[in-house]
Amino acid sequence: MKFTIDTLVGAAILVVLMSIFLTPGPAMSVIYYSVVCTAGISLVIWIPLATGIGRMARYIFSRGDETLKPSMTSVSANRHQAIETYIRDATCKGTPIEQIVQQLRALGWSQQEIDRVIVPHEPVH
Amino acid sequence: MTACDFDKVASLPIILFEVFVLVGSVGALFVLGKLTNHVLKRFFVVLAGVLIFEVFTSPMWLNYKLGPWAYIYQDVSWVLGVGWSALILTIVTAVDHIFSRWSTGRRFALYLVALTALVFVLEAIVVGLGIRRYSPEVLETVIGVFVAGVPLEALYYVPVFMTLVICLYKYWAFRIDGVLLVPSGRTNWGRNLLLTAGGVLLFELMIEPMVVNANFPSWSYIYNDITFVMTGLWVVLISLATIAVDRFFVHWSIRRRFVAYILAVGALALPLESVFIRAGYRVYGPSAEANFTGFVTPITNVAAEIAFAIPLYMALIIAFVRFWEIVGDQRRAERLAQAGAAV
Repeated sequence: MKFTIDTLVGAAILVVLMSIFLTPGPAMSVIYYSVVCTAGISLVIWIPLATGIGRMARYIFSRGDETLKPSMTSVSANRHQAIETYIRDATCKGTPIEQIVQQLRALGWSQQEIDRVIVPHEPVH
Repeated sequence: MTACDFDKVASLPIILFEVFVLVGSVGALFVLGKLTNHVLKRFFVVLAGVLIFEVFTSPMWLNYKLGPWAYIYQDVSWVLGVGWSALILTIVTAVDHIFSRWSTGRRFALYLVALTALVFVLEAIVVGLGIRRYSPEVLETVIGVFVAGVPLEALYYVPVFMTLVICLYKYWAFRIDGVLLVPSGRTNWGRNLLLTAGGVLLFELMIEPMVVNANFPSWSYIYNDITFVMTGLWVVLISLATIAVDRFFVHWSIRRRFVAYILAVGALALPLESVFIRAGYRVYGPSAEANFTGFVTPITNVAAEIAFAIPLYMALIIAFVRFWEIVGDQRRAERLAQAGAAV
C-alpha cells in the first residue's frame, strides 16, 4: 500500500516537474512514447523513479511524523549517530552534559531522541 | 582555441608588478603564520574559491600581457589569483584577530568594506598597466561611469565576489579549525530558501552579461534578462538538494556533505541547463562562446565549460547558504544554552 502511494505521489510530482521544464504537451509525449514504444519496458525506469521521488517527498515533508517511523529506520539511525557523535565530542571537550542537551534542544532535537543516546551512558549508581 | 590567442607579452612594469604581487603574497603568508595556524591550507581554500570564480566568469574580464608563464587556463592568471587570495586571507584573518569580540555578521561587513576599497584601487592599477580589460558584454551592461578606468559597477561586483569566496573559505575554516558544530535537528525551510534566493540572485545579477535568459514570458522578468522562473528554479533545486542531504545525512561531516550537495545539485542542474540551452531559453554571449573549446558532454551535449561551471557555481552558492545557516544555528544553540544555564 505504501509502495503504491509513494509511486502515485512520485508520478504526480514527476509529471508536474516535466510539464514545467518541457511544457505539458512534450512532457506527456515523452512519457507516453517511452512506455508505448518500448512495450512497457521503460516502466522499469519510470516506476522506481516515481517511487523514489514519492518516498523522498514523504520523508522531507514528514517532519518527524510518528506514523512514518517504522519505515525511517535509516534516517532515525543517522540522526541517532549525529547526536551520539556530537555528545561524545562535546563531552571530551569538557562541555557539561546539561549544556549539551540545551544546545541540542535549541536546534530542534526532541528530548526523546537525546535521551536515547544519553541514558545508556549515564553512570549507574 | 581562439580564446588562447591573445597578447601575452609582458612589459617591464607588468613584470615588476607580478614580482611585487608574488613577493607581497609570500610576505603576507609569513606574517599570517604568526596570527593563525594552517596558513597554507587556508590559503589554498581561498585560492580555490578565487580560481573557481575567475574561471567561471573569465568571459567577463580579460587578463592580457602577464607573460606566457602567468596563465593557467585561457586568460585566467595564477599570479592574479595568488594576489587576490593573499589579500582576502590577510584582511579576513586580521579582522578576525583584531575584532574577535564582534559578531560574525559585523566582521563580515568589515571584510567587505575593507576589501572593496582595496580591490578597487588594485583594479585601477591592473587596468592602468593594460592587464585588465572588460568584455564588450560587460561594457554594454555598465552605466558608463568609470573611476580610474574601473566601472562603477565594481562596487557591486567586488562585494558579491568577496562574499562568495569568503563564505567558501569560512565554511571550510570550520573544518580546518576543528570547530565542534552542534548538529541541526530540524529543517528551517524559510531561512534556507531566503538565503539561497539571496545567493542566486546576487550571482545572477553579476554574471548577467555572460548569459541571456531569453523567450520566457514577459511578466516573469524582474530585472533586465533575469527571470524569476529561471532564478526560482535554481533556488528550488539548490534548496531541495541541500535540505535533502542535511536531512538524510545529518551524521556526515561537513566535508562529506558538501560533496553530496554538489553531486545532488549538479546531477539535477546539468540536464536542466542542457534542456534550456537547446530550447533557446539560455543563450550564452559571444565572449562566453568564444571561450568554449568545442568539447561537449555526452548525452546532454552541452559545452564542457558549462558542465564544469555548474558544480563550481553551485559550490560557491551552497557554501554561502550553508555558512550562514551554520552561523545562525550555532548562535541560537549558544544563546539558548546560556539562557538555560542562567535559569
